[in-house]
Amino acid sequence: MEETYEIKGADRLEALRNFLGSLFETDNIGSILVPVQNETTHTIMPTLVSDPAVLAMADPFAPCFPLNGAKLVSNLTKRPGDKTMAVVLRPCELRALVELVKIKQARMDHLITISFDCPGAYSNKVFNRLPDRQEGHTLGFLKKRLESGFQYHDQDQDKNEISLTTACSICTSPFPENADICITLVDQPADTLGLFATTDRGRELLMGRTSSVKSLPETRDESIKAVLDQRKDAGKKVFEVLKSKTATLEKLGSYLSVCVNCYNCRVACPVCFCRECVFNTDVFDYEPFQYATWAKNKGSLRMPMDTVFFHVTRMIHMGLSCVGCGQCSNACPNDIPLAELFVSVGKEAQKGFEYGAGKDLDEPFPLSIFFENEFQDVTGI
Amino acid sequence: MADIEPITIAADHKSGSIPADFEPTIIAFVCNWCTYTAADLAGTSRQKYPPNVRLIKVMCTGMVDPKYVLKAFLSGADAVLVSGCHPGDCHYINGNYKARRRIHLVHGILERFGISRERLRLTWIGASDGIQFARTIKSMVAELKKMGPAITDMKQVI
Repeated sequence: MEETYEIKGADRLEALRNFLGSLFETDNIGSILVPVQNETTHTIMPTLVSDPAVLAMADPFAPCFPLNGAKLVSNLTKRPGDKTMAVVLRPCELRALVELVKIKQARMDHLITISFDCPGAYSNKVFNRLPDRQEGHTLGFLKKRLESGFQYHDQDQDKNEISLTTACSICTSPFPENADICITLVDQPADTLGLFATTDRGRELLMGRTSSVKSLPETRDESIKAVLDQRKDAGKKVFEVLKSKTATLEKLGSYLSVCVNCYNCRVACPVCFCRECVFNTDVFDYEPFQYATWAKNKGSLRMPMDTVFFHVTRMIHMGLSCVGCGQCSNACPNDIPLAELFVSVGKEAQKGFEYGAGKDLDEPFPLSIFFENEFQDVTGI
Repeated sequence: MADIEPITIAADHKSGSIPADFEPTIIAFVCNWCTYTAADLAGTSRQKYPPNVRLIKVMCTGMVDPKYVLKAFLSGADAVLVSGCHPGDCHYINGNYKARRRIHLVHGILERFGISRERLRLTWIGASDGIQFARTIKSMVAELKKMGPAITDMKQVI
C-alpha cells in the first residue's frame, strides 16, 4: 500500500479546505480549479481559485455535478504553461481528462490532479430545485451517503430519499485510482480525510506537507468491494431493461423518439472533442427536394431526421472513451435516459479492445494503433 | 470499468416473415487499388454475379468512416461490404489494418441493435481476384435471402 496521510478539520469540508489552502503555500501552485459555492445563489460551479480566501466556499462533495470538468481543464491546459495548477475532479471527470490528454486535447505536465471517493450526485434539475443547498446540506448528504455505505436509494422504495442520477447509481469506478493525490472518505471519522498519492509528483507534494502519517482504515478495501458489488448488481438490472428496450434499430428509434436533435448531449459529453462535429457540417445540410424524396419513399419522414443516426454515430465515435459520467442524460431537455445507453454500449465496445476509458494514461486509444495479426475473425465470409 | 454481462443476441428478429420476392440490397465500399479493380476484372472476364450490390469506390478501406456504414443501414441497405487489399498489400501501407479495427468496433455496437455481424462484412479481395469478388457477392446474396431485410419498418427508424 502507498504511504498514506491524514488531514483534520472541524468537518470533512473544512479538512479539505485546509488541505487545498496548504497547496497555495508551495510557490509553484498558482491556482486551483475546484467547485465553489456562490454566496448568494448557492449554486456550485467549478471555479479557478487564486485567492486562498475563496476556498472557504469550496464544496466539491456536494451532490451537484453541473458539467464534466474535464473539458474545462482542456481549456485551461491546451497551451503549454509554466505555472502549476491543481484541479479537484470527481473520478469520472479525471477519467475523461485522461482520455482528452491521450488525444492531445489537454496536458498534464503542469497539472496536479486531486480526486476523491465520489459520493455521487443528483441531476442538475433535482439539485437546482433543492430548497436548502447550503453548506449544511453537503455535510448532511455526505453523512447519509457514508453511513449507508454509498448505497443506491431507489426512489420507488423510499419516497423520502432523493435518487442519485442513474449514471451515479450504476457507476463502478467511484473511487480515485490514478489521481496525483487521492482523498478518501470511506470509513474515515467525520473530521478526518485520508490522503495518498499514486504518482511521484503527488508523493513529493504530500511529503512534509501533512505531518501525521497514518494508514487508511483497514475496513476500506472491504467497504469498497461491497459498494462495487452492489453497483454491479444495480447496473445489471438497468442494462437488462435497456437491452430489451433497444434490441433492434426500430426499438432504438422508439427509445429516442422524443429527441429533438438539440445535440446538448454532445456538448455536455466530455470526450466528444471535435471542434466541428460532422453533424453540423454541410454533409447534413440537405436540399429541400431530398426531404421530399425521402418522405415519398418511406411514406412519411419524421423530422428532425437522422436522430438514430446521430446517436449511434456518437456511440461509435466516442463509445470507446465513454467514462460513464452521465452528463448526456443531465443535458437532455426531454429526459431521454442516454447515460445507461452510452455506458452500456461503451463498456462493451471497450471490452472488445480490452480497454478501459480513462484508466491508464499510457494505454493508447484503441483506434490510434493496430497490429498485424489481430482480430482475424472480423474478416472473411 | 468493471465487468458486465455479455449481450446475448436474439436470433435475427425478422426471420420467419421474409417476403417471397425479397431482393437484398448490398452497399459495398471497395478500395480503388484492389477490390474495385477486382470488380472491374470480374466484369471484363464476364464473371456473373447478382445485381444486388451497389459499389462505392473509395481510395482505401481505411477511409470508410463507420458513419457511412451506419447511414447505409439506416437508408435501407440489408448488408454492407467493406473490401480492400490483403494485409501487407495496402497502397497506403496500413489503411486496411485501421479498417479492421474500426469494423471490429462497429460489429460490436450494431450487433447490440439487431444488425448481426453477417450483415457487415470485411473482406480482402486483391486486384487479380475477379472470380473471388463474384463469388463473395453470390454467397452474400444467398445468405441475405435467407436472413431477410435488415430493417422491417423504416418509419420506426427515425
